[in-house]
Amino acid sequence: MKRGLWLTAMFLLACIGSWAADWPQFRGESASGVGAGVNPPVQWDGVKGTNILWKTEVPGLAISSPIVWGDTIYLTTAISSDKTQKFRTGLYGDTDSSKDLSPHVWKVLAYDKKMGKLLWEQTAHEGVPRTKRHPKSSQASATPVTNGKVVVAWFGSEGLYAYSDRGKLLWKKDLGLQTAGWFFDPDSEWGVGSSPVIYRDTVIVLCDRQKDSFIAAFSLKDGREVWRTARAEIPSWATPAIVQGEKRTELVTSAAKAIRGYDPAIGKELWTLGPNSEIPAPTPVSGHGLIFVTSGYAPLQPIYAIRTGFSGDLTIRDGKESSAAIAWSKKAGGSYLPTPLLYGDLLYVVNNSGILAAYDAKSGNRVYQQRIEGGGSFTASPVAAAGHLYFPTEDGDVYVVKAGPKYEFVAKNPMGEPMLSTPAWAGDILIVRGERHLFAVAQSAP
Amino acid sequence: MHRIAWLVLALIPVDLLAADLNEELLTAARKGDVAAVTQLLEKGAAIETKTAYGQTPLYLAAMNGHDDLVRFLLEKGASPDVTDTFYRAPMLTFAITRGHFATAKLLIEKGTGNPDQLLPQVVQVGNVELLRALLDKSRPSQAALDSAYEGAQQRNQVGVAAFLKKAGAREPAPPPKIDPKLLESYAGNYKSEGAPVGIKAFVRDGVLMMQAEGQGEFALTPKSDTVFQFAPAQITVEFSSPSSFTLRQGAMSYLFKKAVTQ
Repeated sequence: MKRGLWLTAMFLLACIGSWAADWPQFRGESASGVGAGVNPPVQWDGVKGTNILWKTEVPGLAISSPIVWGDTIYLTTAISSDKTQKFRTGLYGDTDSSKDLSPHVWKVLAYDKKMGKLLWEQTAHEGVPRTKRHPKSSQASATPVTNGKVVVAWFGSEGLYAYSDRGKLLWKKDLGLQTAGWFFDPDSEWGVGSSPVIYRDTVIVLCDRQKDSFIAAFSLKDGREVWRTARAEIPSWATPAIVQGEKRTELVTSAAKAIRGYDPAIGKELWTLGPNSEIPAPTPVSGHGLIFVTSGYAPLQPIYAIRTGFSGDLTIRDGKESSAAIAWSKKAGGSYLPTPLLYGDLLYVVNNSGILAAYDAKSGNRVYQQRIEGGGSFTASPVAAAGHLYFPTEDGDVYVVKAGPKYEFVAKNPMGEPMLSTPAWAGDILIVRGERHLFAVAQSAP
Repeated sequence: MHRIAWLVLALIPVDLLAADLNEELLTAARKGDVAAVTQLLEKGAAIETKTAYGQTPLYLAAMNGHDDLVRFLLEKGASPDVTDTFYRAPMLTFAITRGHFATAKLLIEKGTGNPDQLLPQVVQVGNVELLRALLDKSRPSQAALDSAYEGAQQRNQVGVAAFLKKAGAREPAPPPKIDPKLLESYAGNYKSEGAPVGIKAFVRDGVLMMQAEGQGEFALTPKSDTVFQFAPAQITVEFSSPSSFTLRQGAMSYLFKKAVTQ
């Protein structure tokens, strides 16, 4: 009996250890961005190699984020035959597409977490891209998702692909032409950005495009379409969020015409909320019984704290900032590209130029607003672990700031290349994707 | 009652047809397809039909630099004085900022826009031919001409500056001396309901400086106790009190108020 108890305890510990180290989708479990590590790196130098466990070159150009399951890191990329391609970084407002329509190869890669060794790679598709990309985006911008057995990669117009954890193609789907671009001129194509999410035994994909937008769920087992719901939407780039409320689970999307809640099992729309800004990119995050949705394409830059469990049109009327369904809201302060970070009792929102604002998550009161060190261009979303917040920049540095009600700058860690992808946590290891390399950053790495 | 029902039924297909034609016209205009636009107009599509953002066929043709179609639509009587509902920008602004200068010239020759608002945009891109077309067609105010000249000088746009001088621009007057206490009273953090970013005002070495969030700082030249300019970007800042100012740039105007520190 006693031995049985010990075995159970050991088994539970093993499960917790495995769960804690997994990072199954964009920004990890529930898109929280919060890692479970207890001794994560704080200071390192990606150029000199200080506290870098390993560094490996990644072919192609992509802003999709790494994901982690067990000892494996999964990554997607798109390799242009034009080898001169790179990101056009910096703060600018151009709407034109990248001109690169040379033949590409779309790949899914698997790396060993401890050594950075390539375990397997699969070519999903080869050909000329069916749509163009934004100069800051890529032909592989959606982060893959996994449940440990199946890895699903979404390449927009080039299709949806499911692989086993060993790299065997299980199924693929063509979801049509994904014309994601500027609402004001559809010829300015930017490419898709929303990442797939897994709910139970389905993978859910948001396809907001210039015409005939929809959200759909496909069986992880064989790719069969389980449900599809049409959306009166224009292009959007936010990843849907699965939010577990007290009464039910909600699938939350942030798009230009409305923020919406769905039943993730059947795709039925539960609620809508507006207004939202015209080019929404940040993913909804949740905690404290609230769903936080931001977007930041001027002039509307809202932040909403939505209570779970409500139905119908939740739009606040008569100029008010709260209601039964909306705990608090703000008309300004929402971020344009980075997803906000809910860590402890504070909601951190960083804008594209590195101005960080911390809000009391429950009341919406702003606790501080501060430019992070020298500022710069911030596209990747921040992540957090063990009391620290991590902000990668296009300028090639990862800034570390202490979490808490008072702004406290900790470190500026050079990586030597632009970062537009959101990092992943693998326990105490920070997996960072730069323009050309994948880095594993760990405290006291040789 | 029966007759009304028939009337409604008879009207629906016509409305749908018109909507389809108009949608096709907007698509053809976006692509610059003169033949398709001609056919669709002959079939009854509306020349001033609009997208959800208020863009007409001419607007779409202009912002994409389709000169032949712009010429055709102007000849057909399409209005060049259309402002969209999202950016609140005239089509000429997009033609200029996207580098479609031949298109911009066609619109300017048609006499569209306020010359005082257009001049800074044209000077900014430094295209002398476009500047000539604007000044041939309209007469900006002396203040706008002087301000554009000052900006061109500061940006070292020698050809543009010479052209403006020839057009009657005057040399800038030496800046007036401002009481340092008054200057210091303008310092602070400002916010505007209409502008997406806040602005910090501060004084450095006796010069009023400003910096918008995420952007570089710039020095303002005083024109009076309350009016300051940053000529290279054609920005005018006018203080109504030490705690509020109006920032003007081209057709845009924002009221900024000093933020209360939390």
